[in-house]
Amino acid sequence: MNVPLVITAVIVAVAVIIGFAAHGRSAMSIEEWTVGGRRYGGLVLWVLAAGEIYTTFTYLGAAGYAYANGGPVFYILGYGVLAYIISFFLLPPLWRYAKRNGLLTQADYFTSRFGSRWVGALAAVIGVVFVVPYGTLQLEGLGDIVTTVTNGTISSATAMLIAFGLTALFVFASGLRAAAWTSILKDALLIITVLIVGIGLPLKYYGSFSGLMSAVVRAHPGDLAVPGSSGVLGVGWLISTLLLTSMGFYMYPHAFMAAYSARSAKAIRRNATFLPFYQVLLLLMFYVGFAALLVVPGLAGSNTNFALLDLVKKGEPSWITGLVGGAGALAAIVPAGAIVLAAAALVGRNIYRDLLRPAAAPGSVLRVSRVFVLVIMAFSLWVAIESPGLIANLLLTAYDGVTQFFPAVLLSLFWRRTSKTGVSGGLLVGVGLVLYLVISGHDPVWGMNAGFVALIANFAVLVAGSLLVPDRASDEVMAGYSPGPAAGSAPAPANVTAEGG
Amino acid sequence: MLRSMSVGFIPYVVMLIGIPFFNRSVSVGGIPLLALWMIIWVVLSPAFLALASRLLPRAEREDQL
Repeated sequence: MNVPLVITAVIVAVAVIIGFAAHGRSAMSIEEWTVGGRRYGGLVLWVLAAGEIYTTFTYLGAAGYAYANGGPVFYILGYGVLAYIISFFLLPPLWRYAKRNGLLTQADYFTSRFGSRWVGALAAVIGVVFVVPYGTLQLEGLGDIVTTVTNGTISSATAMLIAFGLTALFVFASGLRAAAWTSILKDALLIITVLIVGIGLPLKYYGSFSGLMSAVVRAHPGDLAVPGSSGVLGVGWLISTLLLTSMGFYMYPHAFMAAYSARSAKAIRRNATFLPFYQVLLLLMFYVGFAALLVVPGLAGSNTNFALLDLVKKGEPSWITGLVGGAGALAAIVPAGAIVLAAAALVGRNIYRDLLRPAAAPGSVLRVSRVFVLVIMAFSLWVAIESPGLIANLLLTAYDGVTQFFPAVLLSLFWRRTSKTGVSGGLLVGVGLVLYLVISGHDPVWGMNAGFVALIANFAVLVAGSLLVPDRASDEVMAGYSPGPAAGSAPAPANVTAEGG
Repeated sequence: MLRSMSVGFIPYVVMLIGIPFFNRSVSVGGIPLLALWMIIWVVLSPAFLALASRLLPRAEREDQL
């Protein structure tokens, strides 16, 4: 019997059942479907955030990146906590604005705050262009994981077709609730397998972590610092990458949207306070990558992503391989579900409704968005199976691309003159530079992350554009960010605006 | 708000500034030095953010929305 196959299949099946069960008995409104009715706090908000952040890329990629580059991998350790610090201050006012104005998608924020459905549509297009390849990456990761742990019994295409067909259906049915509920299972499995594999394998081969580290330094002398074996990813790159990724973290359309699902500003801050602990676990994945470098040498290019799986198959019993396969599959399914949901909602709300049918009823927007869940998933599957190389360039730029939303979001919170002209100019310049620099092979540029350089240009254009062609947001708009009294009590006077003070 | 931010951002700023000084390919207690430097600030940041919560303006702390 193929033990890993059975275990992986059972785990995926349980997740799919949970995803459908998440629908509940009540009818699904668009607010329920996209942001879970804004009632998540505590554990669910925590695992939903973790569920979207810790993807197959973290799971396989962290070990693979350590294997391929050495020290530059440590950026993965730092960027999360820096992002949580930013989110602690940035998200509460944004959440209040979203709740008061009934926002559901990231582009809704641009439409509402800058008073232009064209700016919203631009944000939607940029969001979809960068987030869909990220979803496709999850698909390919899942295919690789399942093929590897089952020793090729199930082909990569079959695995993707089954797992993502089911994911599309449960997201269609249950929306964000499916992602939130399946996250609980996914995170539990991920933590367990990271502990088993991350502690077990290094100790099995090297006796202790110190033993492993000494062996790494003997074989690859510079590998525990930057630039490691990458050659080009030095200190300037590390610092600019940490700055960029910490700012871009919540700018992914699905992460932005998940922040709307919080039940209060306080829940968001508590989340930011405790999420860093999750980050420490990643160190164990680096150990696995370093151990693999010595035990299964010779992987190159994108095959370094198999460092973890190869080492697990070599050094662990088959039931653990199955658990790792299942955890890895869920690490693909959960974020892919959230990503396709966000992309579909952007199309439904900000392109279909805002540009084509301004009078469309919420029910019809929900129907269109749901159809686009299936369309986007089918498109991603087709790309992942037919021509995986097609998205390689877009994928390289995904993080750099979505981070270009950051300057507009940040300034809009406290600078009322932030204007649609400045925002659209900044976005176009930032995204254009990212695409140009990365695709023409100029990353890093001047020793810095190319996305970071584009971010600075974007920021400059945004400020210049807003000064030259300013808008002036009304007091009502700006009051949307301020803390409010309990429902039913008197509204706060307009001058009690804590933001920016 | 500035008071709260100046405490909350301490781990952010200190972690980044320290990177050039801890970029050596050695390990301490089985943890690479550069990773150890970052982990220290990862582990400390919840304490700084908890303190930052207490320093938030009152309206923000008592937000009932």
